[in-house]
Amino acid sequence: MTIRFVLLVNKQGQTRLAQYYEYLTIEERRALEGEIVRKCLSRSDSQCSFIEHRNHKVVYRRYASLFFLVGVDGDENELAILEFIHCLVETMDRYFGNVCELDIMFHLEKAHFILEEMVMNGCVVEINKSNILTPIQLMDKNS
Amino acid sequence: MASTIMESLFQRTLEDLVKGLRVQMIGESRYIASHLEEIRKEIKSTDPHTKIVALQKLTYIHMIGGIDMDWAAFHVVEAMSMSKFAHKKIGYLAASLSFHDGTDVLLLITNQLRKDLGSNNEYESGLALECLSIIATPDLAQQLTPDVFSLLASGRVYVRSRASVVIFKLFTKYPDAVRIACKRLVEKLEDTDPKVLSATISVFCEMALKDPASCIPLAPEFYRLLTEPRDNWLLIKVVKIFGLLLPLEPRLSRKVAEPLCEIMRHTTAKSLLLECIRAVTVGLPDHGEGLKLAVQKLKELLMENDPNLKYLGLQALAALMPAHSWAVAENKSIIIRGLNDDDYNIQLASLQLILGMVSEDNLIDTVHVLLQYAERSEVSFCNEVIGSILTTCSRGVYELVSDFTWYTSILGRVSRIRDSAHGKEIERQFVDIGLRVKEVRPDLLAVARGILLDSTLLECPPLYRVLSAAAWIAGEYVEFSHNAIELIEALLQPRIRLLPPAIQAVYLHSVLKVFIYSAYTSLKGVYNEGLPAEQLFSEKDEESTPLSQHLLLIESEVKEVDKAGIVSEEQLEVNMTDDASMHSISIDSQKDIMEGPSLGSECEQFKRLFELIESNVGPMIEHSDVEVQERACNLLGLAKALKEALIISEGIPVFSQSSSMDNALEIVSFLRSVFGKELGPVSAFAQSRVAVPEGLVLMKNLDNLDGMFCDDEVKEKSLTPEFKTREWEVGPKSAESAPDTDSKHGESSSLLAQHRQRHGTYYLPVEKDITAENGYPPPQIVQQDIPSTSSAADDIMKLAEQSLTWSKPRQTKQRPVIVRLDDGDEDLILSSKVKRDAKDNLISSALKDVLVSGKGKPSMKFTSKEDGKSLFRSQQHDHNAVVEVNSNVSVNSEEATKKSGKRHGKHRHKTRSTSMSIKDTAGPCLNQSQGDSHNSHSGQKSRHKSRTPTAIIPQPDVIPDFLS
Repeated sequence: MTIRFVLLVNKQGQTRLAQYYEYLTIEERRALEGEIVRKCLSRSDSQCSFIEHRNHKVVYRRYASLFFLVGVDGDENELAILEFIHCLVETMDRYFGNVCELDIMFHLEKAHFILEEMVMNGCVVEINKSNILTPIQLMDKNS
Repeated sequence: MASTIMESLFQRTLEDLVKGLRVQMIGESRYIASHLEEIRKEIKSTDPHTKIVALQKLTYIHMIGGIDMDWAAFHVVEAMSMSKFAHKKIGYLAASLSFHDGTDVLLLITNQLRKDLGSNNEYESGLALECLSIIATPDLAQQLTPDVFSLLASGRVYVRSRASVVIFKLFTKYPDAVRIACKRLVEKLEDTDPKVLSATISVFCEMALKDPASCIPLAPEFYRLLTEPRDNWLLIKVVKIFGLLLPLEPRLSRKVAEPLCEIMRHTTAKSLLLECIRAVTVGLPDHGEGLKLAVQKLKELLMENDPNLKYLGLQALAALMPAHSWAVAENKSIIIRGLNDDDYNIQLASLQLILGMVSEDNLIDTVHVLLQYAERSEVSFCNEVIGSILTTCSRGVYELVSDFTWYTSILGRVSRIRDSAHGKEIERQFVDIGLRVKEVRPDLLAVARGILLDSTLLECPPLYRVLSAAAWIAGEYVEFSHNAIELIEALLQPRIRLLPPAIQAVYLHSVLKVFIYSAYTSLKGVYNEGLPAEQLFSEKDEESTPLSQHLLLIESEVKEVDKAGIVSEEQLEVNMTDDASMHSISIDSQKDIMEGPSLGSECEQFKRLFELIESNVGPMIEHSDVEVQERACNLLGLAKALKEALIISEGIPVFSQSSSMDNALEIVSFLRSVFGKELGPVSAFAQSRVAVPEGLVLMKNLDNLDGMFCDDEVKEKSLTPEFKTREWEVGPKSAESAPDTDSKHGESSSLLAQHRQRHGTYYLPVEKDITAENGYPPPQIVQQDIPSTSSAADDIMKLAEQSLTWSKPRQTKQRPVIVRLDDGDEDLILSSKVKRDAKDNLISSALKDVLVSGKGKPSMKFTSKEDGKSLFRSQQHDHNAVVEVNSNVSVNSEEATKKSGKRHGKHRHKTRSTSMSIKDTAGPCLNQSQGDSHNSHSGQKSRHKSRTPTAIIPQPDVIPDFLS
């Protein structure tokens, strides 16, 4: 399992989206998020985008007021994960049009669907934006 | 019916919920709680829409607030089985977010999943696969493996690529699935679709991470993927796999080196470049060209002013360091600048690199540079630096340190850092160096004295352990001090009450040692004026044993008396005189000594000592901690006894009763001889070296000894009263009657001596080492001017860059002898082999079985090659299976060529083109390699080549050579 979790956090440290690819109890998740988010938010732009936390390696990237955090295995290629984050943001941007925190708050499940299309069992399976969005748009049309 | 319409009409939608959540004034949790009530009602509705909206809201709350939604599990299952795709999707989302191994309804969804897996709608299959990848349990995995297996052959790319990822999840939950599905998964490496390939290679990458050896048979497939032009995501994974395989199979390096270099030369994607550098580091340590190229590219990465690249570059350098320190030396200035970086991570990485390059020659410079950085930086980094300095310098029993005077001064310097987290380690090293390096003891004492005199340190709890070590050194090596009184003053300053009791106890014990030492030297000084002291007072403890027993008795008595608050001075005096008559010490000549010139000053000194001890130790006999109390009592008792013996009337020092003075001297010289015994390090295995005597059964069952315990108890009872009476008995009689229990010191030291005689081999040859040391020059004292901390960082950096030489070490100075134990000192860290869990082993063994028996291996080629035989035997490849494979080769390879013929142009996509309104922090990006079409031609060729069937008949001992 390469990607262990994906988190979206705003500048205030509130979790906006959390997807785990390995099972953690709610308490464990809260503790983990709390520590990692605190570490990430305290970092400046001039610092590198990687933090190590216990046995996790976290790659994060900031877009406006949102932080995208991805927890990965120690062997994972950090730069590729940064690229993945960028792709995720671009896809959301295409779907929502100028994506912002509110879009994700109001359409959390859509954001999850996008992530589901891109990542499976911790592996990146799709990075083509149109392919990612096809099933979601299909569902929008149906409902 | 009407009610459901009303429900759905007046139901709050998810949007209402979110809006309400944003404007609520009653607190988020209360707002959610009020909604949960509503959701509980709505979710039971028979109307699918109402139910789904309720589930949607519940899922939302679960996602944002981590509210437990296990209670709704059954409703989730209902939603999953709805026919409408949008409803189903919401149900599946809820399932994958909330189900876990303990969810009981998991048993109910097997059929639903099976149905959806087999759905005609590819997105429905996708839903089921996605859900399965998250919630799979061993049961689910077992039951659904055939369904997912059949999806691997699905005509739709969407399903096929996801199925190959999910099948890996099933492997981990149900290892037997490997035997069923692995063959087809291997076939997926030949898939025409890049997405399926990408997913499959991810899976194999995971497998290789778990057990690289099991993937070696697939090396030709991976090699083919490496040489064909691919998108970078895939190449990264392939390179990563080779990074894992290369260390196991050196013969691969011949083949793989060139393609890797090619990628490094031409790729514009930094992620891929980084992956190649990592693979070369671990996989091609002997390939000069590849390494040079990797280091050059690494340098380019480090030069770029991007913190990410800098951090990753430093990490890559750290990986290169053990084998190729030249690569690190080349980037020295960048590394040293990293110490000053804004980023803690980069600082740490630089620190590790710098410490890795430390040698005997540059140790002093390096440590000084690091300390300057440490003293100016934040607490956490400061601690990190100090911790690593301590570990580096003490590595391999201080193998890097040649100048211990310098090192003790460094220890003294780091002891002053208030927020230190390394008090314990500093304590350990202080004591350790004291025990091991004889020559440095005077310096140690000087450092310890400085620490003890600095009363502000008593306010720093992190440094208490250091103080304890300093106190111990002061007591143990007091003979090197010029002013023992000063030490006692420092050890007894009133503020030591701030220390924890355990450390106060160490302080008191050190006071005792220093006191004895100073008493001994002054008394001896007095005698020496008349007589050679050695003649009178031999230091051999055996001779003084009876007296010492007596002394201890007195001591304990004083303690008792003090506790009771009664001082029975007459008793004491009687003891002293009685006892003195037993000893034949010439008294005559001492009359002159009493009137000698030094007498007055000695007496003054004694008086001062006694006053110091009485005034400061006195209050401690009521200390709440028994250890402190006991030591305080002992000390005070001894002091009083000596005072009685030496000074009779107040103010006027009269050594009139020379017999009592002799007594005093004997007491003191005996105790001095006890404390003067040199302590040495003890091997961790010392005990195990003691041979078990013949006839001693250590593993005997002692259950049947219950009866004997009763006897013990009786004995104990009878012992106690006897003990009590003895405490009140005085005089030599009691000393003779109970020598065992009372003469703790004399007894133990004489026993020790006896034991040492008998079992000399199990003791460290301390004396021998000492004599050996004599030939060495005393350690140099290094004068270091420390620049003021205000100096600019650049200055330090320049200094650092000039002074740190990372060249070959040269031995210029002889080190002092360091007492080393042959075995116990080496780090006891056993080679830590990563323990894989049982399941991983199952997977890899199953994988090995499948791959080596080659059921799915079309393009593997086998030629006999004798030289690699032993290697492959060790990897436990089943040679018999090879025969089977070759029988399949011709058939399979025909199929394979057909397949590859059908291959057509791949769908490509750029990852980074749309304009974005969100702030885009520029960063490294994976660029699609250009000129695909140009390269693909040759790629096809080589693929065809590799598929040519071979007709070599395998020998029983045939070794697969995968890349010939």
